[in-house]
Amino acid sequence: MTVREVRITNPMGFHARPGNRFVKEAKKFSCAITIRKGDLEVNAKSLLSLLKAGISQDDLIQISCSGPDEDNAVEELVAFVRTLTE
Amino acid sequence: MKGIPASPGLAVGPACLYRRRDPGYGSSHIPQERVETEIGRFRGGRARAGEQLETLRQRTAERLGEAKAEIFESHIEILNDEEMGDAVEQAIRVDLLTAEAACTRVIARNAEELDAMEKQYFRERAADIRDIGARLCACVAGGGSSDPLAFPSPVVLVAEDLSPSETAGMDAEMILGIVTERGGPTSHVAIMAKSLGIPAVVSVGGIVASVAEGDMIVLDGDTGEIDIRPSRASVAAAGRSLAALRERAARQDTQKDLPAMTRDGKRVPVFANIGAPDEAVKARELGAEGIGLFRTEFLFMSCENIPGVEEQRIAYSRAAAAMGEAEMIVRTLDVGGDKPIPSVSFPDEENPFLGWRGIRMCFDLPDLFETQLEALYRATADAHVSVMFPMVNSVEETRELKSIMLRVRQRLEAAGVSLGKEPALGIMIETPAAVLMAPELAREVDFFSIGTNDLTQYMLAVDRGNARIATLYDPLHPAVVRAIAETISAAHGAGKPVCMCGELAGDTFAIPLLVGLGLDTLSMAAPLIPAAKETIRSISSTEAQQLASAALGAATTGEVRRLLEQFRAGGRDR
Repeated sequence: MTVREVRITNPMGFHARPGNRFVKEAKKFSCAITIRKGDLEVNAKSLLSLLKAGISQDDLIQISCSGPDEDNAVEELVAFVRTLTE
Repeated sequence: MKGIPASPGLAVGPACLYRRRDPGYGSSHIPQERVETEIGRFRGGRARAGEQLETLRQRTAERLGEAKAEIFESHIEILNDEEMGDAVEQAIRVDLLTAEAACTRVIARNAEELDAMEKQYFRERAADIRDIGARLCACVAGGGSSDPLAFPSPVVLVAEDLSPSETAGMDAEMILGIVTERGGPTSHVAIMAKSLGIPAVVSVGGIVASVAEGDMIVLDGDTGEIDIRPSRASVAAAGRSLAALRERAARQDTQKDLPAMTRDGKRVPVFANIGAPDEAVKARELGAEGIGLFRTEFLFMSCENIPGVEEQRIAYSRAAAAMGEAEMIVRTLDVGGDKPIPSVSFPDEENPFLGWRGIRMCFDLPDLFETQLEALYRATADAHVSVMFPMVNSVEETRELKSIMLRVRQRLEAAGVSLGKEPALGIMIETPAAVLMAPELAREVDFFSIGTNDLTQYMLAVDRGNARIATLYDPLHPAVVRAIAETISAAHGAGKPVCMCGELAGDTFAIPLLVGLGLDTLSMAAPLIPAAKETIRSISSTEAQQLASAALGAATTGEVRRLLEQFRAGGRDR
């Protein structure tokens, strides 16, 4: 399992559109991906779960990937979060 | 039955009952051996719902662009959400629920979780989930229509109420008329019906319970009368009136391109209110001599971030191009807690109509405001654009608006952007404060525009969306008539013109009074233009002035109405 921490900087957080884009990114990988925010851990490939986690600007999240392409997935997803601007 | 007339015209046709939530699925249980069948039904329904959303996405992309269509991509993602799918299948397998009941339960739980969230923009997603859920359940139940508001044959739509997205998605060609149980004369459904030219009656208590699917309905959008299962004679009579109305419409149609001028030669140009650039084309076809109100909310409604300068400029220029040399008055963003936009987080307010809205909000969001003003300035390069600000109460606010305009202009000039003529700057007169300060405000601006919907609501302290007090909401209340007169006299005293862009401006019954009070321009929903022009062309401005003086002496709303009725009856004799 590979885990990385990243801070959400875009103003909208994982609101419907950025959240949707993130889920689409996550689904490109075959490994299991979860996001932890505080005590809450959710499936990163489920937009609904992601929305319910209410991930907002300035939140610190942990992206955990577990599977054959986990290293690649973590790299790409952290990079993706950093490119979110809206 | 009788309700409040919301959009004029007569409609005769079979009823179609529109229900938003279908509670019929309940908690119906299934025997163990049906589990796989129900799971199959769920998956099949989900696939069909996905196809429908894809159709909606494509249609929206074609009509409004890819950016606006992205919301449906999120909807498709949520529809196919693996956690949700697992939860539904679990409910079928373990709790032995029907597919519909399982979907209803899972959707409701998810929506409730979102409802309970702290940040408003996540809470608002609950409505998306419910919307997706309603479609999913309908598809599982075999409701195979590609859109809940698409109809195979023309119908009279009967509903509890219709939300903005429901009215926006409906197939106007197949809707003969609309009847709703709730809503006031200026509710969203009324405004949409008017701009689509569909007769509508709102606030009809008990209508949903009294009508069965397919019942014949005669609806009169001028009087508010509804006849359910009418006698053959009344259907025939309605048919004759409909024919007469069509004949009248044909007559108006031949006159619609003539200028709006009274019999004694006073010009009162008739402008159109539009809510999207494409509507300008239709407005022009219907005889609009300009655009008196371009509502810009559409740009912000379906977008989660502030639309950029270029996106906005293109929208303004497109509308202006349809109008040629004619004037186009663009109103800056006018939203508040009652009609929020996704890119702004609105506070919970006890009373959004008295809250953070219109320019009050724009002053606090300089990025949003200046982006819009910059786009408007850039649009002046090739169009005759005027700018109008909503919800202005004071001279201070007006001066602040002027200094922001100046700042934006100077910034653009410094950047070497080529600009056209400085746009005329106007303000909406829609609060009692603005009416009382009109003489001072008139010196600060180039024009006034009276928004009668809000002015009536604020003058009379009557919530225009509240069905219980809907009868108290009357723009012909003598207080409102006098406020209009005061505003006009203040503007004319300073040599400035006054437009009216509220619902009242398109009411042929009131137009003689409005002309008599001295309004310079009337702006209305495009389908009302031909009849308004016909009315203006049929009256004399001198007689209209006499009517106005009499109305200003009236003590009651009834007296004002009687004077207008007498005038109309006199017109028939003339």
